Amino acid sequence: MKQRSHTTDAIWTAFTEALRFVVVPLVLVDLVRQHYPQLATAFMADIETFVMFFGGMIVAASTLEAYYRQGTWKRLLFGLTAIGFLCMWFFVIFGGGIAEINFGPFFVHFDMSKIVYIILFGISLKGMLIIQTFSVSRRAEEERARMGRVEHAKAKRVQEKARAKARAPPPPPSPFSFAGMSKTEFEVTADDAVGFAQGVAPRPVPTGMKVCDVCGTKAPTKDYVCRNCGAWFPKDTVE
Amino acid sequence: MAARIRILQLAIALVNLLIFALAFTSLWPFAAGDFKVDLPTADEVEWGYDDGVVSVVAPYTITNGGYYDVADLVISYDVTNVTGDHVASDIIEIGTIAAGSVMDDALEFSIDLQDLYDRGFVSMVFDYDYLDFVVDVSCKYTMKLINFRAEYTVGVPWDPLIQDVTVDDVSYDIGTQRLVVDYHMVTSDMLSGDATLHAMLYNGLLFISEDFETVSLGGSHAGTLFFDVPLGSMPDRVLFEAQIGGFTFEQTYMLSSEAMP
Repeated sequence: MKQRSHTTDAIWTAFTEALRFVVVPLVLVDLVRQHYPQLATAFMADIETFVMFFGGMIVAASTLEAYYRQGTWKRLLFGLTAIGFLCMWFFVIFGGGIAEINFGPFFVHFDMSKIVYIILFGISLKGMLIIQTFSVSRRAEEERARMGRVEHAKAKRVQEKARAKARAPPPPPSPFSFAGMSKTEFEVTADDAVGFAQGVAPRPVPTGMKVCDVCGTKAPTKDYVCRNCGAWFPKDTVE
Repeated sequence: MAARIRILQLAIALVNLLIFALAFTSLWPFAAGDFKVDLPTADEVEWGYDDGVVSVVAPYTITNGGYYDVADLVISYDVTNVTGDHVASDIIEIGTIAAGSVMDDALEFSIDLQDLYDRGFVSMVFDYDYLDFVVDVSCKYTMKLINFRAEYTVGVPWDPLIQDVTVDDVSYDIGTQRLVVDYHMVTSDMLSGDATLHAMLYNGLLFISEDFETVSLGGSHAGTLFFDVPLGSMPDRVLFEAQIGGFTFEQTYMLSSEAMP
């Protein structure tokens, strides 16, 4: 199953919560006020303002709750805030549980405040779930954060190493390195020109191999330089 | 860990389900009209009168079609007249109405008119009035979690016991030398039986003649009075006097000078 991103979650939450706690209640409140103008509650005069304010707060808090990962303090804070505003919203919508109806010779006083308090208790139980989810996810979140820190430190170390390497002066050239050699062209004097004479009895060597005249090490016929002593092989020995 | 969250979720869902069920079963009977309080209208109030005491019977019905018993049901009433004076009041403690049952009963109380008369409510005996009935029903519902109170104010017109005595026609019979007075008397519908109307003819303070007539009470009664008046007498007024329900009723009718030939 594809996991939704936190941003998508937050947008979806904002949309659904706005419908549940602002749009639909405003429509219902308007219908009730139109059809039962005799109904009076403690908050009836400004009920739309209250619904928009507390509903808006629920939407904002729920959106932020959905935006943050489980186990974060922010998610816990916004989750509990949303529950708090939900309780206030509910209390306002139900006028604290006390309603009065006055029509003609009748006056009815209806007090269900105790039921409203029980419902508020039921709603606030969701706070326990948020806390429990937080405490369970907190360990995973801490582990994730620790791993993140380790990864970050590792990456930082590698980066530092690379940076230090880049900053360090170039190593001294090896005596056998071409890098330390002069780039000036020069003509190599032939061996015979300096009085070198071939030995009398050349040793038999296996096919495809030759022997360094300086150190006696065997080398492939394609080599120009002896791998052991670095001496040049004669031009005619290179195939 | 996830299992613990799942258990907590289930527990919360269960508690919320129970709370929802409690709220729904508490409110639904009121919304659906299964819980009804029918208080008496002005037409339904029955009046009676006996020996200076007015009895009032006001039927009411309380229907408890809900899921819980109605507890601590108390009905109280307060009756005041048009000037706001207290006429009668009482508190009736009924108690419990079981779920699914209907209670049909009536508020029954009496108004001692003599007592009112003695307290200065003369107008209720002889004049029209307007009685304000305030009936208050209060009870508790859903294991006493809900308080319900309905107040009903109804104005009931009050007809005086003796409303009027009117002279319709006055003539003089020369042959019998009698003054013939046609009259009608209106008394409250609450009254029944007969009463004696005593009519006296005066000229100023001078008593001239009198007549007695038995009148039937309750509604309008028409009759004729005969006064022996010798020619030459000049009666100027008729004083009607009646004892009805323990109250003395007096009314004077001024005769015109053309009544006598």
